[in-house]
Formats: sequence, structure tokens, C-alpha cells
Amino acid sequence: MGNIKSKNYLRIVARLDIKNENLIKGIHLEGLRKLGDPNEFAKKYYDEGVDEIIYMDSVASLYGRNSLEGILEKTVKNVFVPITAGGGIRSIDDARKMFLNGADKVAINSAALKNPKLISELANTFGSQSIVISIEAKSIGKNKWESYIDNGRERTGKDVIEWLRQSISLGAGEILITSIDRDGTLRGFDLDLIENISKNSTVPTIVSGGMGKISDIEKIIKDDNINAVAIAAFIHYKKMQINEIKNELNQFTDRIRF
Amino acid sequence: MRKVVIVDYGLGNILSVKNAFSMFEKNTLVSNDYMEIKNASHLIVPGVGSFSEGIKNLKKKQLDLPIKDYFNSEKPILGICLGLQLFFSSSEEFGHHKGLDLIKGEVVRINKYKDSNEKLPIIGWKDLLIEDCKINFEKNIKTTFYFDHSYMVKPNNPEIIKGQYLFDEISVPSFIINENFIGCQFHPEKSGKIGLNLINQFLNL
Repeated sequence: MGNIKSKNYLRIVARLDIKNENLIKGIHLEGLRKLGDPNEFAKKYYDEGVDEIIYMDSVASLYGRNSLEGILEKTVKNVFVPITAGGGIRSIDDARKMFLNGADKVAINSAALKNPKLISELANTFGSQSIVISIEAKSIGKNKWESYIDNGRERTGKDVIEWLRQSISLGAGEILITSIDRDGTLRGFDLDLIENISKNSTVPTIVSGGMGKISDIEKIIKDDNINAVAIAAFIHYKKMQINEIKNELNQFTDRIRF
Repeated sequence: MRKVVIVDYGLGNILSVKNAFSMFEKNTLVSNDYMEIKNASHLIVPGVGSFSEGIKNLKKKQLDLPIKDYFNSEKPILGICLGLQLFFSSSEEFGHHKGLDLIKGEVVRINKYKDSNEKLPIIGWKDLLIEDCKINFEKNIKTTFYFDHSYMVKPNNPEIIKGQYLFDEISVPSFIINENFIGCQFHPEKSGKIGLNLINQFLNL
């Protein structure tokens, strides 16, 4: 029987922030601009070879409702890569609705920070492998970040690294770390934040916020501890297509899946 | 005429599995009915979640017997992820649980080395080298599938393992063929075109 060492693939993830039924994109998670039908964007990214899709309802936790169910149901008709759904998930029942409509994983932020036990309850019910903890980090000094909730609107006083460790020990199966400072700016990732997360995360880790050119990914692709990058504005504004990004990255790394 | 039945035991990403099979066969239904399962030309046991919940639900819905009967027919049957693990004798996930015991062996937790860079749970794409078998990939082509798991099957008979990958230095059995039974630890319905190709080939068996 042949046996091969698999490559340590860096997943290229399309992140689609949703408000009502629309794909939107803001800066620093704010000032939201409508871009169109999320299903069309998701299908396009799938056709271009994306490794995964994240849907994030940007107003759900604020308004206490979620508009992802209908979108998910449509997307899984013609998109055959994993889909993570987040925003406004407050209970086992909320999570179950996402799974029933086609989500493979759910991402939790606000509800988990308000009630950390929810992480264990979700992990025990659905398995750690389908529970993503989404951390919204804002810089508050050299090598220090604070966790925010309600899509970057509310501060919590909770240190990001401390929250990372706590959520993993409670059963988080994956971490999505978003730099609020870099989100939507196309100015590159917060490399200090990523380095600190990388040192402390023992579960698969997705970095998000700031991707604006190929060399931004080049800087973090050498870190084997980072498992995925989420891209939003850069692809939504059609700076490059997923297949073009992958082809460029493939010239200096073997971590790209085709 | 083909009739594809996806077993509904209340766990798993049934919608995605149904959509993937419907791409190739319109006559695909989700069911927990004994006669529908018996009359299927192709049976799929999907699954995401814990082993104990899976077995408990199968028994509660009295699906264990029709699945056993189907397994013992010569018709093709596919187990995906937890749906593969349930066919084994037992699992150590959250205690010791008996499985359907149709394939001899255990389901065990994957452990990593102390200083390993590997991550658990395993979430992401892995290359498999698939042996020559009744599913035709291009010969010895590297095939990359999406995984999402922390436990793996350990069949008593290693010859039924047709594809595996390395985690630290542990071989993780990922693709199983035992006569009419095919098992995927990965998710073909989430593995893009290569996964859809596997589904199409399974339907042509």
C-alpha cells in the first residue's frame, strides 16, 4: 500500500459578509457597502477553485436575527466545498438550523464571549470539528489586542490571546481571527497579531482582515501553524480571481491545492 | 433504473449530500423507510457528529436492521465520515460504544506527537494515494479530499484500506473498499470536482 505525506495545504477561503440578503463589505467591519447576490459570488469563487466559503451575517447579533438560512440552502445546490456560517448564533437550536440548511461549520463570537459555556455545549452536541470560534481583535498597544463583539462594535475588555486559549480549552475546533484594524483596508494582515495567534493556537487557524496583494500571503505562508487565509474585499472588488491568486502563490509555495 | 437512497438518521449534512448525488441522478431521495432502503440501487449512509449519537439514532429509528440487510446484499453502499465509522465493531469516542459490527475493527482517537505541528481536529485538504480498485481515478494520480475529523477507523484486515494519509507518522485509513461497501473518511460532497467524480463513479457501480 502506498503512503504519502500530504502537503500542509493553506486553505484559500472566500469570506462573504452578509447584511439582509446582500453581500456587503465595509472597512474595519463598518460602513457597509452593498455588492450583490451572495450566491452568485459564492458560485463564482467555487468555479475558480476556492477551498472554502465563510458566510458572516454582519448585523445578526446586533438585531437578534439571522438571514443566512435561505442563502445557505441556495448555495449548497451548486457549491461543493465546505461552508461556515456565522453571525447571531446564540443557542444549540440556532446552530442546528444552520447545519440543516447546509452549513458544515458554525462560527460563534458574541454569544460565546457572553456565555463561554455555550462553546462546550455546541462541541458536545455537534463535535468540536464543526465549531469555529470567531475572534474580532482590535489593537490596544504593542502586542496586545482586545476582543470585540457585535461585528466590531462593542468592546469586551477580554484579551485576545487569553480568550483564544480559553475557547480552545472549552472545545473550539477551529479559530477564525479577524483584525478589525485591517478589515477592508487592503493594507495587509496584522502580522504581529498573526504571529501571536500562531504561537498559541493548537487547533486549525484561519486569518482574516487586510489581504490586499499577493505578497501579503507570501509573508505568512511560511508559518505552518496558519492553516487558512480568508479573503474578502480583494476578491469582491475583483482585484484578482481565486484561480489567479492560487497560480501566483503556487510559484513560491507547495501549499496550494488545485 | 437507479434509485439512490440517503439514510436519514437525524445527523449530518444531508442537504449537501443529496445535492451532490442529485447532480448525477435525479432519482435521489432521503429516507428512513425500511422498504425504500431495501429497494435502493445505491445506498448512502452520511454522517457528521459523535459515534454514540449516531448509533443511538440508528437504533431508535430502527435503521440498523435494514442497513445490515442491505450490506449483505451485493448492491453498492457508501459510508461517509461518521457513516463509515458506524459500520465498525466499536468506537472509543466518549466511552466505549458498539457499532454495527459489519466490518471488524475499531474506531480510535487520533493522537499527535508532543512537538508536532499537526492540528487536531483535522480540518482541511489531504492528499491520498489511492490503490487500483473499482473506483477509477487516473492511475496513481494524487487525489486531494476534504477531511473534518478527530477519530479514524482501524480495520482488522488492512487489505480493505485503499487510501490513507500520514498524520505525524500515523497512517490514517481514509478510503475503504470491502466488497460492495465503500467508505470515505473524507467528504466527497465537499471535495470539489474530484469528490463529485468519486460520487459519479460510485453511482456507475
